Amino acid sequence: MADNVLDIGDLHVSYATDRGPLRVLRGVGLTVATGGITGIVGESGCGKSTLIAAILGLLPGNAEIGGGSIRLDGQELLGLDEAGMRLLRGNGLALISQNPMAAFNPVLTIGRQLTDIQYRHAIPTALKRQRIVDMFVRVGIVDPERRLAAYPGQLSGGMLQRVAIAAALLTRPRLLIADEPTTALDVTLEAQILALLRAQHGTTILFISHHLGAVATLCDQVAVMYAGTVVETGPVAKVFADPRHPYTRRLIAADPGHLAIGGGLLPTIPGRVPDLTQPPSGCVFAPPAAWRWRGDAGP
Amino acid sequence: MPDPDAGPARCRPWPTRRLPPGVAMTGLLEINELCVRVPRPGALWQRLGGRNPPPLEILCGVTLDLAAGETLALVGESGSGKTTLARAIMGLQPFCAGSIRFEQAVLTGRGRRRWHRLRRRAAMIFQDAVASLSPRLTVGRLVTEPLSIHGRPMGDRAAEAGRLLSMVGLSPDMAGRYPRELSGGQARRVTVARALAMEPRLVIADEPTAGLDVSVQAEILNLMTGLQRDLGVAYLLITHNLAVVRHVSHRMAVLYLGHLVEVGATAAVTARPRHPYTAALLASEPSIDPARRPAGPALDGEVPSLFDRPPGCAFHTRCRRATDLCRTLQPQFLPVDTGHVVACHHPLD
Amino acid sequence: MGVALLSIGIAVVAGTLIGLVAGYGPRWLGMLLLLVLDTISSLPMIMFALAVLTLLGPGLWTLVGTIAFFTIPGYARLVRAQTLALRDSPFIQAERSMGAGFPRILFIHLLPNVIGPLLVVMTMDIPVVIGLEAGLSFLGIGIQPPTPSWGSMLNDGFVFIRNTPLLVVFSGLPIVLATLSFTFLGEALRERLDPATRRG
Ligand SMILES: Nc1ncnc2c1ncn2[C@@H]1O[C@H](COP(=O)(O)OP(=O)(O)OP(=O)(O)O)[C@@H](O)[C@H]1O
Ligand SMILES: Nc1ncnc2c1ncn2[C@@H]1O[C@H](COP(=O)(O)OP(=O)(O)OP(=O)(O)O)[C@@H](O)[C@H]1O
Ligand code: SF4
Ligand SMILES: [Mg+2]
Ligand SMILES: [Mg+2]
Repeated sequence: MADNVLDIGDLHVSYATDRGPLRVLRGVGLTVATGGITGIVGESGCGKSTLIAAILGLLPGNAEIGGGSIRLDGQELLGLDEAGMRLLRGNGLALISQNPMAAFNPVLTIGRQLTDIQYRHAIPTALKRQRIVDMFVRVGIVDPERRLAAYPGQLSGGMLQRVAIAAALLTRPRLLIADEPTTALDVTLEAQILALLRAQHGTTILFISHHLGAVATLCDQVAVMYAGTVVETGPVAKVFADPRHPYTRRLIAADPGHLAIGGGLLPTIPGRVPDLTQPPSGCVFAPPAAWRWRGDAGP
Repeated sequence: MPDPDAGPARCRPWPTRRLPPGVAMTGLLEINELCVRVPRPGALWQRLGGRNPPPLEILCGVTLDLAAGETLALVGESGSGKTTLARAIMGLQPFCAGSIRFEQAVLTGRGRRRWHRLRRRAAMIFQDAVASLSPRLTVGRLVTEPLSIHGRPMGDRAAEAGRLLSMVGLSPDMAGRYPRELSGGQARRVTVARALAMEPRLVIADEPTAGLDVSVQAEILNLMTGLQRDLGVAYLLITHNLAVVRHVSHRMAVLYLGHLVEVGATAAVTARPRHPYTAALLASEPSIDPARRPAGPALDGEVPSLFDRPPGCAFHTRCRRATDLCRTLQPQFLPVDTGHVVACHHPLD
Repeated sequence: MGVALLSIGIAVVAGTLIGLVAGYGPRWLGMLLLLVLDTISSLPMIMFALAVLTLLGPGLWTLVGTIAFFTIPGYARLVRAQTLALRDSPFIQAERSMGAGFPRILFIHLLPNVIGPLLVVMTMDIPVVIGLEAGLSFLGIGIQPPTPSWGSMLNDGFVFIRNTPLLVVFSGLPIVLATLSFTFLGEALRERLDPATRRG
């Protein structure tokens, strides 16, 4: 097995818009080590979900891949045909998305949908249902039997997210991609889910979150993205304790987790993310002129 | 921009001041003993016999009030009924008992006309941002939708849309996009802009900053605080992010399985939680410092199901202090301090 | 052809209105409308059309009216089903929370989301109705001469089927071609309107 489950090199993706191509990913490089948990943090709209969609081969119709490579266990995914991709999604890759509601078909019961995703296992339906129930217990869903008969709309957001995590783990993926899986959860549940994900020893996880505390709790490695590029990577402890890139510094400074109680204003990062239809050359962080903050020298 | 190293700027325009819930009669919003039940369709044979199972009780005896210009944070387990409470206030969820008063007018029952005034003067930001945007309208139309619903003159619609979008840090060029062409965070900002368009008296914000990066989150929260300072907007802020609660709210209310368990000034509650559930909630917050990684979840066990709500105190199945009294008798709200009430037989001290 | 377009057009408009109201309006109204629709669709169409046309006498408007009357339930049901699926969706709730009224929700928010599949079904229905109209004209109770109609042309040709069978073939050709082209149009529309395959 390769050292890295996922190896992305110089990936470019753009969206066709009325105002010309929106260059959302511009030379993204990222590796995820086998058995490790890698976090991605970054500006909202910087292309994290686009990166995930590219890995899964689920980019919307107006997206175009401008070059680069995505390797899963050494296998190139770009240019893979639909059938090959579907095979991978069944047992190589699993996704837990930002919006659990969108991950389920509203007119089928939870039990039915989770039985269907196990189509690769030649075991009787009763056994499949038992596996689901076991998995529900593992992710902390109460009343697992009764939830099987529920429709997605009858569960609260957090509950549905746990169902989605259960669904993803059922396929025993080589790479589990979690796009802000705890955004809809309360802190006790978030802590439980993070502990649950950590306990999946051997499962390689790519974890996207805006919650720096969650990333610090869960991940070994972290990649900081800004305006379509990875600006800093490294071990979580190191990056958060001693950020090198000015954007990372400001991101950490803006985290309200740091701040004591008070009704004052939170620090923000001034300036606006550059217009990605005409991305600047050189450092993308230059336009907000923010790196001069606190007397930093430019990168 | 304040220097993060110098500590947060300490300005608190709206001092924390509170009476026990239900006492003040001058509030902007008063919720009294609100109960929400949804019918539970039984099996066919039960229905034929005319005996449906008892309805699911989602909210039970919720009493809260909110003064003008105040921020009340509502926290709680997922599935505890926070969104249901928000929907009930907006008249989107029928309730079976209790009352809601907004600006002294009592709101009950169905019918759009009764809620019309509230819907003009209050706005809700929905939990699921992308899904709460009408998919076939452009962003520009979406943010100006409340203005056109209420026939507010807005001059040039495009200019107004641009103004609202820049208010939440989006480029006015976004106005031509459709919701599916937005990132999660951008959609969230559009819903915030839309909620603030009418300059409402009350904003019910269901996770307004979930899915936003911390910088944008800070921008949105600053925007909300600024509007509060200038216009006296009141916020009912539903969030899972305790850092946000601590930072922007004056009071907080904790909901567990449809019951309020603790209400009090945020500073007091976070410094010294009295209810065991609140204490567990505060203890499980993940920290950015990996050295402070919690050893394990502060709370284990499962959230009880609404289908069989535990008798007595709903929290007793997971509470380390539970006694026989807790298992049989539902605790009443008792003041432990000025404006700090707790529903627990054996509050922490 | 004109008959088909006209009657389908009427049926789509009426069916959409009925479907929206049945899906989003009060429950009892929805039930009542559903009952009426089901009654219509349970009537035997050809028999009923024959009866009406013979009673009222053949004519363009009677024909259009009869065909529209029978195609309304299909559209109304489709629209109602989609409206029901959308009525509790977050964006409709969001609109309600802003105080949006009934007409605004129906026409600005629900209509654009249900119209896509409807148009597709519509283009696929046109060939059927062309065939139907041709059939009725063929039986002599559709469009009356001297107004030309593909059905009556086919009928005219049919008289000579023994001598010149090609006449039937050629007078039937436009019907086949029109049917095919509308089917293709429907396929294309479906591809275009499906967000998954649509290109920005
Ligand atoms: N289908 C599309 N057409 C055009 N632009 C798009 C499309 N989808 C996304 N975008 C744009 O591409 C950029 C990146 O979007 P993406 O969803 O990858 O961001 P993200 O990093 O996941 O953000 P968030 O943290 O807010 O979810 C955004 O500016 C977004 O507006
Ligand atoms: N119409 C309904 N029918 C049946 N159950 C419902 C209905 N609406 C809500 N519920 C249930 O009521 C409970 C409370 O749901 P609600 O969405 O208010 O939770 P929440 O506190 O907002 O949770 P989250 O933090 O996950 O969003 C959930 O268990 C949900 O399954
Ligand atoms: S009433 Fe009893 S069970 Fe409930 S929270 Fe208090 S101590 Fe725990
Ligand atoms: Mg995203
Ligand atoms: Mg909720």
